[in-house]
Amino acid sequence: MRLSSPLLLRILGFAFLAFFLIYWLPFSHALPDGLPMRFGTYRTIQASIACVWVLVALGLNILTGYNGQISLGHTAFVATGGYTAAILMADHGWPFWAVLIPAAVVSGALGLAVGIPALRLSGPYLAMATMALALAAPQVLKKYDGLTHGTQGISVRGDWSTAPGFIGDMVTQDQWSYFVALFLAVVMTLIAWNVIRGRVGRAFVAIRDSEVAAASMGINVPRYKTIAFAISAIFAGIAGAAYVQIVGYIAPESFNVLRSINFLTTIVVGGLASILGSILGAISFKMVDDISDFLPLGEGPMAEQVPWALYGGLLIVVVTIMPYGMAGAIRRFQMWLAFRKPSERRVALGGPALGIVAAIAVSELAGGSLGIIVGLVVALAITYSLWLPALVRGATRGYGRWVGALRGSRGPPGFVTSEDASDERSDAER
Amino acid sequence: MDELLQQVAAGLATGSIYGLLALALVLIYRSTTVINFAQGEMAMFTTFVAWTMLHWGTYWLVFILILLMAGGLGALIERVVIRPVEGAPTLNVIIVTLGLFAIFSNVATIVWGGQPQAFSHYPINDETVKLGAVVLSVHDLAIMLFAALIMIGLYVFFQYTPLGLAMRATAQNATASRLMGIRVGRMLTLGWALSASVGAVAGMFVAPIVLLQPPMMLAVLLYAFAAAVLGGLDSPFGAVVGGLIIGVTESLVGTYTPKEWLGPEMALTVTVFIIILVLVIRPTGIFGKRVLRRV
Repeated sequence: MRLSSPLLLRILGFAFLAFFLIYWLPFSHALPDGLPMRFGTYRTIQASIACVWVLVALGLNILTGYNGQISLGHTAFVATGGYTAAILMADHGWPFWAVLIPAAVVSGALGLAVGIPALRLSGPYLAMATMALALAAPQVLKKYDGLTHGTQGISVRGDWSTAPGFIGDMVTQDQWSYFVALFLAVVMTLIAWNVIRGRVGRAFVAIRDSEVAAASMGINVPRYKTIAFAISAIFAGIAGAAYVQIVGYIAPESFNVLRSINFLTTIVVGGLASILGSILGAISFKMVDDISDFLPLGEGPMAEQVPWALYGGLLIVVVTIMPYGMAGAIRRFQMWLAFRKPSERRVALGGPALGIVAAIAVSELAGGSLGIIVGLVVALAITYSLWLPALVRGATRGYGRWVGALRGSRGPPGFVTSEDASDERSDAER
Repeated sequence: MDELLQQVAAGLATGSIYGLLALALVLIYRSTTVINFAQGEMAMFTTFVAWTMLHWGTYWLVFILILLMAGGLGALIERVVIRPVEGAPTLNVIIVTLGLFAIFSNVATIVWGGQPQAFSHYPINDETVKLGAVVLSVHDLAIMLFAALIMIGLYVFFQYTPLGLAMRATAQNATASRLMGIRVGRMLTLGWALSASVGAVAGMFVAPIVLLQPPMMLAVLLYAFAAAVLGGLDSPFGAVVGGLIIGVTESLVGTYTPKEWLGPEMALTVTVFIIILVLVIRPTGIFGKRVLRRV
């Protein structure tokens, strides 16, 4: 078997991913404590929360990316799931595994209830109606405090978030939380993948591309649009329960409107109608939260504001040069790769991969940040030596063409959002 | 009865501010079908600039200058940031405006700090005027007056000037307008400039009420979005009416619903659910055109 055999590459890739997710992320203490981004507990919690955002992004992408319905109200679904879980765990003593189903059911029911009036709305009107939900959620949670404990929120951290039996001796509470979140993220990714590839998913896409055409093919449009809302809310509800389990606390202000808007940003940056995109978007969004740990800004307002100002700029650049998100850019990269010579292909793929593996290995052995830096420099050097001619060629053609060359003139085949229909509208007005 | 009138008048005053920002949103939406989520933060930013300039200029001079500067800012944003994503899906353009939102709100905090500032040197005093049974502050009256003036001004501009006609034509059908010799790109830039100016007026009037601080326009923006949607996103008139309706509804719900299970804290919730109800009955807002699609 040759090294470049696709199957072997795939196995290696998965092995590396599993090593990274299961061992390196929660257990490694390769970086010394003096560094701003402390490995260990802090990083483990960040990774767990990233898993929660992955769950939300998957659900939202099923609704917005695959079914074409915008939602700015997903924090309401996350909060519903979170509160259901928290109330059952804190006030009724349920274990975490038992509350997942009620959290999903209650949140899914809310999704169903929202999905029905949403049938009549589209575009910005639907965005407004769903945003109303996100606006109302904190107020409702504060006002009816008999059930929700009002502004002070609910604390749930307890025995049920520690691992059972002998596993509990091996992992800390945070590491166990991480494994639970990772497990949920993996399982729900597989479920999302199945939903999308099946009959239901094809119906979603058909409705997104043209409701009339879908209806004339025999698809029950209202039914599937409502189902999309319910499925999306179920994902968000499970995410809410997972969030409670990780953080151990939930309050009305945990999820505000801005977070809802950020969820939408997440899937557009990651890539609409793409499972990989949902995952990449959620992780990169979580990383912005932690940028302030990298930058030498000290404490205080600067440390909080500068990363988010940069994030705004980055958002504009990313959306401009990658209109179909990170997943779309990866697809374009694969297409580009397909037309390279095998030798070039090996460098383009092997360079970064070797660099990352080297970085992790050296840092694990030497226990220092130097290894990571050396590895990244090597990876960048190998990669750019190949890309440099193309970049120079692009840059000399001027800014506009360069942007054009990067993002290409076409998106992935068959992808039309409902807003793209503005041309059709002007046709109808004529 | 007197209290009712008083509440309605107060609602109309806040509603005028929502209406102004909603008008700004609609001006951009009509020509590009994009909701500009940065609208409120742009207004906040220009108001901070105004606050700085007030240290050496008189209020009305600064007011005029700020309107011009806001117009310039709007035009600049359209040219530099929005133009490159013109052909992209609408959601992408909305994400770009969210990026602008993050930039403006955070840069303002970095430059001017997060502390609330009194919008001082402000010429419209806090005295109240009695109109029949209704007591209104001069500031509230000024807000309503300016909202009305801007409405009339825009109406005249769009209906009776060649430039306004060209802008309406662009909004309705960009391709045909381009074929008729209208510089569509310039019209879009002008639309952003106008919208930023209108938003700047809203910012200047919000600051004295809620104190000048970076997050001050967030709630106003959400209300304005609701107002624009309620009125119908392609109708400037609808935007202002939507703003007034929301202002009055919020004020009335806060006063007249039972305190135990609704009351002022739930005013926002009740208002937005009324909006949803209206939308379910009229899916493109009260004054919005129904969109027909050819398949």
